[in-house]
Amino acid sequence: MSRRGAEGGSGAPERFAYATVEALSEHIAVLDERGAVVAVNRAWRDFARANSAATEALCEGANYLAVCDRARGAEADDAARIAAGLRAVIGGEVDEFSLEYPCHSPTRQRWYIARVTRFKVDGGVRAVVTHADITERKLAEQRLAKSEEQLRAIFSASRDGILVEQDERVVYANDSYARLFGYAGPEELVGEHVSALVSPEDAGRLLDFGRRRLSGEGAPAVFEFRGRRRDGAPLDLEASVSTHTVAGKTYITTAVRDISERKLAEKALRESEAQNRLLLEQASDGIHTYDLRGNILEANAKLCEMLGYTRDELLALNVRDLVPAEDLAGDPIRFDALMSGQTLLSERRLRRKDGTLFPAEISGKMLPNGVLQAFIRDITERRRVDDALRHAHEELERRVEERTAQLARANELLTAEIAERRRAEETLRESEQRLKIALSTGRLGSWQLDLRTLELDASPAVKANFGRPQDAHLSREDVLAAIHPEDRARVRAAAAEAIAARGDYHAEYRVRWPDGDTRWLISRGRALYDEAGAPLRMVGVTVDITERRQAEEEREELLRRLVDAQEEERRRISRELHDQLGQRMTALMMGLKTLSAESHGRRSALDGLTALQALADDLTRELHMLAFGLRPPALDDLGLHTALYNYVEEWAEQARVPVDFHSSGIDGRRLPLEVETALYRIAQEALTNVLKHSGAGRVSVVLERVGEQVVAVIEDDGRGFDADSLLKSPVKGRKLGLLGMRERAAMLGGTLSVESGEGAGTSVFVRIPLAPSAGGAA
Amino acid sequence: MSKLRVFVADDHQIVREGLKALINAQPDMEVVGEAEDGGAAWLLAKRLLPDVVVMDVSMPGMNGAEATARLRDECPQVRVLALTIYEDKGYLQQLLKAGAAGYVLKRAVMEELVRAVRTVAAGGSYVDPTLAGKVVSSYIRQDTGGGRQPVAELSEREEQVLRLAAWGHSNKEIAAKLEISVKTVETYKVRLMEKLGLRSRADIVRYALRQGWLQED
Repeated sequence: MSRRGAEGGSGAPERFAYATVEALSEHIAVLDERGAVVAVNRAWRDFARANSAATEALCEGANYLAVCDRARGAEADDAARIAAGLRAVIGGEVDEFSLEYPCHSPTRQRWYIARVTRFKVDGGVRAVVTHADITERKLAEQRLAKSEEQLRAIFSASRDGILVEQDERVVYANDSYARLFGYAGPEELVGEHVSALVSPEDAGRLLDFGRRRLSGEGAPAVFEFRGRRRDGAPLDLEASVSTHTVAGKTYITTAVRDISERKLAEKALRESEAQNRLLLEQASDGIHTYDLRGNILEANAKLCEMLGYTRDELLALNVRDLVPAEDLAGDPIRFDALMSGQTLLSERRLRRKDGTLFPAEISGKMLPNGVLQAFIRDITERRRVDDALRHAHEELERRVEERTAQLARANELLTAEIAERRRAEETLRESEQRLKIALSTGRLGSWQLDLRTLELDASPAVKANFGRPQDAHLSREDVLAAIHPEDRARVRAAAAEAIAARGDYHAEYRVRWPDGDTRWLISRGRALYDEAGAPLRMVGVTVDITERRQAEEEREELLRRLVDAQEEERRRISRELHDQLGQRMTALMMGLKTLSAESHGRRSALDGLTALQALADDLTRELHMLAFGLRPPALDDLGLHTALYNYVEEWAEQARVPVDFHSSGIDGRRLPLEVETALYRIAQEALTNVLKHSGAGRVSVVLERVGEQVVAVIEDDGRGFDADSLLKSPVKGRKLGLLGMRERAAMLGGTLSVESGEGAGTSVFVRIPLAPSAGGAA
Repeated sequence: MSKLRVFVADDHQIVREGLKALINAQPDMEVVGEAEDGGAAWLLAKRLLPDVVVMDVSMPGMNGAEATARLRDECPQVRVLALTIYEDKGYLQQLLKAGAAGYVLKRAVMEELVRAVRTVAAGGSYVDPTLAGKVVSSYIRQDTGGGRQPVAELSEREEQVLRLAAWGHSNKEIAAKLEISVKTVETYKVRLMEKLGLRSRADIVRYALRQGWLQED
């Protein structure tokens, strides 16, 4: 370092320091308090000489401040800023000053950073000015910014709203998100606290999710919530969430989709149900709703009257309180069947507030909002009629055997009973008339069939169920002819079996009306026998359940479409991530590598580049994991066998639980795409459950084609659980997982069953037919 | 010594440029041609007969696997090095089956491509080390599936239970079919697995398969 002026000694350590400074690649100059250059190193001299006439003067003896002040043209602004900074450092206002500035030569782009610091010498002040070349870093940053731009371009093109948050603050949002929430643009959202985007009733829950996610406790990756638009209006959304850690900071990415329409449809359904409820408030049936634990949520006036409770008293009760304990033990309320969507028709004794019991017919089902609903009809009267009828018949039979002479009189009695019963039926039917519109359980008719003469006696409601006018004759032959040919044999077999086994007859079947309509009916009945055990007649009821079946089918169709759309969207994003972003990341990484090869071992540049490479590498891995999680391309490209095998191996590695995977009859051939997707998702869910709950030491996944169906079995040797009681228990989470899996199989006409016991491991069995049979018979 | 002649196929120009720069920077290699889809790669490589084709797996039109298979059929002297963004092992198996001599992940292309090109050109094969580990361990696992012991004598009932379990029936279903209790089925199952040295349901299926019990009627 060449020196001017008085400072600087000549000791050996000092010479060493000077030599070192002289060898540095940064350009270094020392100035006095007036800005005069006192000393410079070689890099500074070389640079100044090579660069321009203006900077050439900047060697010992020149005044740096004066040169800055004289600068004109493109450099004038940066020069002025450096001069101001230098004065501030010399004046002691700041300790340090730095500025990054471009200094492009005609042949290449270059950037520098200027740093000014201060030290004291002999009571005077000296400033050190250094300039370092940061071109490599700038170029790399620009490339990274460009790849970030591309990432954003993909995000902004997404139809879903996408939001990235860090520390509960928005750091990025795409156009769709801003549009959805009524903001002018994404920039308006940046910096907002995330709770501003959530309706107050959901804010606590979502913030909790976020915190659980950050603390590693886990939170649902997909859920529904109510958002808040800028104008305060609520917004129903489905969110899918992932987290990414980049350079030590954790970012939460949420993709949201507007489900307002779906919610509106659900609401419309609820409202029409509310109307129904209004109608039903005046209905002759008792109606109440209850939650999955059995707690009564609503009850209509008729039910209060039937049971002798006030409404408030009823709302404090559980449905089990209405049933005598001794009945409950033998015939518990079947929450599992209700939750699986079945409508249950049962007869049981109910207890009034005063302790007296009465027989009731109960039709229960689950409403789309997950609440259970039951229609309760007091059948004391019907029982009385039925009993009287049965007594009359029995009496008749006995008398027939004893004395033929009394037949005529007994017959009269019977006729009178039947007439009375018909009158009762008519009154019942009139009150049912109003119900018919709202009640999905439809018309209830009763009938009896003489098993010796095969003569059928049907109530007007039964005739209506078969599309016949009240005064028409409906024979057993008419009934059999009206039943759908595919269902006929099954119905006859059910009746024959009930008679033979002295059990209940129950059949669900389609009938064709004379006008060509097809309707769904349920019939239930029981045979009566003479003392020798020979069947005499069968008495029963028939209900039209067409609307209920339609509602079920519509719901299933809706669900199927939803699942398809979701898979399609996942596939699209996964492809985009791999094919667009992934390829560009590859190019970026190659560029970074080339840069580092060209920086010829310059430490400062290399450190920055290595960090950028690590970042790019992380991003690529994240990207791959993200795409794999959404929908592995292998599922579409290579088929279920390969995709599932891959998944299972990944799972085994992460869970540190060995998995024995076997498939036969599947590899090398493709199954229908929806079957492959369903089996993949079910296996994924089952394995997730294993990881979460089982503590298994060994897992086995089997995939086989058996005849015309595919069977998958996911089995673990973990702690297991009581599968039946879990499905009945009100605990959510795992049960919903099971129900979701079952629903997914059912959509393809398949079945799912779970076998487990405390300490006995768990097996999930899925069967999906390859050629779905038309019209699932009940 | 003449340079290694390398052909590059990738549908992304930006990636292709990077690959070319990387290869051309090696003193012993040169890029002799390039293509942006599988069909063009196949046709051009057939004519140019390079030493090594660096083949992207996912390209529009004819994909990398098919182009690889065709090249191997028609000019077996051309060595194909597959290049992919997918880290799923399934793609690796597909490409190796198609006849690729090597397999490199795009993520690691800067570190490994040059070494991989040299290796396959010299007649060796090269698989990305992270993937290779997975492949080897899964082959080992498949190979050592239990139940190679000589067939122990099964009772008639045990055999019935084993067959039904192999067909994917639950214990409850087996119990119903054989008209015995679920507990009994469990007992049979534990005993037959012990006798045959089977450890999982997958073992049961494999055993039944070897006995020819899963053939369709």
